[in-house]
Amino acid sequence: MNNKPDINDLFEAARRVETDRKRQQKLSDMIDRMAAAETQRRRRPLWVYSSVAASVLLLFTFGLHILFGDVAGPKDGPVLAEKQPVQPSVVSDTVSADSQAAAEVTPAYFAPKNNDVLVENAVPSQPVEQPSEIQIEPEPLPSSRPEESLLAEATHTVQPDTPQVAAAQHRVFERTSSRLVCGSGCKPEQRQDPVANTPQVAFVNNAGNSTDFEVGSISF
Amino acid sequence: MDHQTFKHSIIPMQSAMQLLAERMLGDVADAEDVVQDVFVALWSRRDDLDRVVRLESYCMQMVRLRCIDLIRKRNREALHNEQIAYLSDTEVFAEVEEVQDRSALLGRLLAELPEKQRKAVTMKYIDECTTQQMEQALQMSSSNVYTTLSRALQTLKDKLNNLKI
Repeated sequence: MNNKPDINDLFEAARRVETDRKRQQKLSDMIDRMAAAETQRRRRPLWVYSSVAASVLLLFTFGLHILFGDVAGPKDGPVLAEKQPVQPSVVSDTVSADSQAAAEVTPAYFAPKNNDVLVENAVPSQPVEQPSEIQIEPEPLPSSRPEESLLAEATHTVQPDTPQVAAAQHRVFERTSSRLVCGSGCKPEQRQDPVANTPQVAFVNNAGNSTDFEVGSISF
Repeated sequence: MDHQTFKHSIIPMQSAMQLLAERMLGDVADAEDVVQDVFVALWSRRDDLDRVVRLESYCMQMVRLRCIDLIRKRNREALHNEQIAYLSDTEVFAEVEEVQDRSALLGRLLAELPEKQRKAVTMKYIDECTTQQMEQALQMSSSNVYTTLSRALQTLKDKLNNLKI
């Protein structure tokens, strides 16, 4: 010791030692708790982590569904035929976007635009990318014919090297950004006309009926 | 470093760490927080402590740096005004040793007192109990408590003066 302490210095030192002893006890307990927590964490079974991860993933997926559910659907959109019963309409004239005939033939929800090809039940919000490649030529349709047969009178032009197809007897169409397909699920097949020796595109529906189209200017 | 080794190696340094933090911060509660924070940090890196050559200096430096951080957060000018009491490890450990020596000396002096007086002095000056608590614990009246304390203090002073230090 540097100098002779008085009795109060001794009491002060004893109090400090006693206080430090209590602090050390608290720190020792804290270390014990940390060690116990670490041991418990190591012993935690795998299914705890798995269930937590699964719950988080489920919540994340549900949140995405809520946030983006409206826009995350198929780009082609739902088939309109499912929403609205198909009414046989007649493609009975050469349709140009600005013509009066187009306005008459086209359903109200099918707003024509410039150079649009009017195809029944097409989605109006998506423009036709190659409108000039498809033409619907006029043909007088006798009014006595049923509407089903009137559809077959139309003449379409189909590009042979593109999947653009049209089928008048298939009333439901979907217009996508790149092509026209039959909304009824009929698949196009490319054939060769044995007589005219010209390529053809045929639609075969579920019942096995087919309609041939001549590539270039096809009548059906 | 395993659990028990950590406790036996690090916890005895708490007194020096607390004293250094108190000197630097000037506040007992803040010093306790800093020391506890250092203990948590030491626990988290206990696997690396075996490679530390001078564990005492390592721990004291951790306390020192955290105290400086705390002072810097509170008052940036304090660092420039040299208001911080920088104590070396040697000074800190010497002071801690002196405190422990004095406490041990008091323990030896108290051991020579009668039991009633020893209990009274311990409760009054170390545990800082109230007179009422002393009356209940010692089964004495307040006047008897004061009389006992007075005699015990006088005896301690006499013994302390007679020591050759």
